[in-house]
Amino acid sequence: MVWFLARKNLRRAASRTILVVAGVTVAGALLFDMSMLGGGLERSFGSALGRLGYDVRVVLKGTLPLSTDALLPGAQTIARRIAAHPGVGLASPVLATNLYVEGPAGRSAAVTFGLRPEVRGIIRQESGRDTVDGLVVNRELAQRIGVSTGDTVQVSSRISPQTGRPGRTTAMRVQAIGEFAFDLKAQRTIAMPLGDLQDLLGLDGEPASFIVVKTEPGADAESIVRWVAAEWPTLDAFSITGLLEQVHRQLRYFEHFSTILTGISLLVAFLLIGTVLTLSVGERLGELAALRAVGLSRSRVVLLVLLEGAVVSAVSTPMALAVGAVISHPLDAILRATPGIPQDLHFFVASPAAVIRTVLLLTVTGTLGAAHPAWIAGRLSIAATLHQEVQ
Amino acid sequence: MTRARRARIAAIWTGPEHPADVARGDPQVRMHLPALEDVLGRHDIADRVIVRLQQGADRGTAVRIRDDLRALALGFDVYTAGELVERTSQTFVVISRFHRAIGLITVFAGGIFLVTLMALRLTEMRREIGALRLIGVSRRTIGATVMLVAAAITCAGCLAGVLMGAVMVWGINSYYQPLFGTTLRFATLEPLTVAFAAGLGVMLGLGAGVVAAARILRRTPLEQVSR
Repeated sequence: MVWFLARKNLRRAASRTILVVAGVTVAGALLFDMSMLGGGLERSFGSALGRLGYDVRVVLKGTLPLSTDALLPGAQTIARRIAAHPGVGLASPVLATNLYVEGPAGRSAAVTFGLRPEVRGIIRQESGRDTVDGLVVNRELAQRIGVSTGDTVQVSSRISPQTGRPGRTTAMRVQAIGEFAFDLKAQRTIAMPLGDLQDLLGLDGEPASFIVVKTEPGADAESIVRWVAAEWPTLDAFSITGLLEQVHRQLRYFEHFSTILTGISLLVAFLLIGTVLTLSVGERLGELAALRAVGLSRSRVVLLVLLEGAVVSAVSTPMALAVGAVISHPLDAILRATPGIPQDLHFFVASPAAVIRTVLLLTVTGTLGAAHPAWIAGRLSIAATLHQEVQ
Repeated sequence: MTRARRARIAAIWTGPEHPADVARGDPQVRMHLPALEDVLGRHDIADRVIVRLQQGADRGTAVRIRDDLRALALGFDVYTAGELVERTSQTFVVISRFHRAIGLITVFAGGIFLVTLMALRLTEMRREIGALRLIGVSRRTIGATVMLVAAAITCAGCLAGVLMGAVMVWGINSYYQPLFGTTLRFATLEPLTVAFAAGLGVMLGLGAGVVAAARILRRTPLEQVSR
């Protein structure tokens, strides 16, 4: 009965219902987008880090991976000791720097990684291989200097500002063209065996920028982090969770932004449903009094109005999710144009939690929006209202 | 620690803040170049060289000097101060573009809200309008009355909206400035924003008034006064 009446009332004022559903849909779409944005980049970053399979990164104290040129001395020895620790499957030093690469079409600076052959997953070659045992060049650089697999390039550690001539130079054969994890837009990147890079830079003592650690299945990354910190006071170790905590402060802007806009979209939905239902109840007071007079209980009248609010939310929710998903793509594209954001990261990340949050918040808001008109409907006096209506 | 040097703190530096650094909160140290070279063990190497032109040099001079230096084709690149500002402010250009996109969506949601409320408010006047028409008031006068009501509601709503916006700007700055330990302002109420929001609100409100007036006046007075 209550369900029948709620549907009938919403259908009776069709244009009004369409307007309120449209308003709640747009507010709900914004709500869904903000649910995706709040922590979206962190989730995307965490997921990309997780895919690489390295649970712990060891860096110089007070730094983050790739945040400084400072090198970690004796990295190979440290990596060997970490690898021998129970629960550690692999520990390997990684050296990152900038080099100049010259091919037939010109010279270009390139971000360079020195990797040991056992470090897998950071690079994906066109052949599908993910290890580095020669020079691997990303597509952007290959196009820029006009090389392909098998060509020889000149790799230099620096260019003299006085003469423009390259410093220490070595000729290397391009073993493969590959994709690199966390490449920035238009970034030119190469990778080569760690030893070759250390030789090219003239580095003694096997230094590295950081050490990547892979734990064995079931091992606790946090206990390894604690062990490294206790064993080497000049080093910091970060699990994926720890790294996410480090970037959290920098990404707090998006969290707060999404909170504020979530509040605004909920307020719009609440006011829209509340106002429309209040006016609707005001127009139907006589009808509601008549229903009460023929035996419909007060609680069922209240339920009827609350149900109308919930129905508006329920009808709007699937459309809100669809519209939100559609508009999240251009919004994500806008934010991904931010300098320094790797191309494989996203700001708007759809997740079951974001969907559930949106559905719950919209349903609760719709029902709460109907609370005031429900209260008006519940407290109406049958006799006085009917008397007023027939006057 | 390798290559450690003892240094005396000459001053606690609180220079002008840059919005890009606010969220990072990185610890920073400034020292003389020779002292840093000594710590790093690297001499006569720098990340960049800044060039100050003679007093009175204009933008054209800066561009000419940039081109002259670039023509040397050595192992460095050259930028004017304006170009550097453009490059370093790219993040804020992107954020500003994102704000505009979100603003567009909220304006759309707000627009639907406004049109709905205005249409409902004017529909509520249906019976009064029917009574007025029955006693001989012309459609033109009633149309003007409806538009006047729409304009009054819209103006009151715009005023309340601007006040609410001002309160929110104050609230956002009061919350974020202590949170990030900065005097930078996170939100500002620009006259252009106020004019845009108010103008849009008035346009939507009056538009809704026109639609509601047309719908009401299409009916006969008897239809209007009927329940």
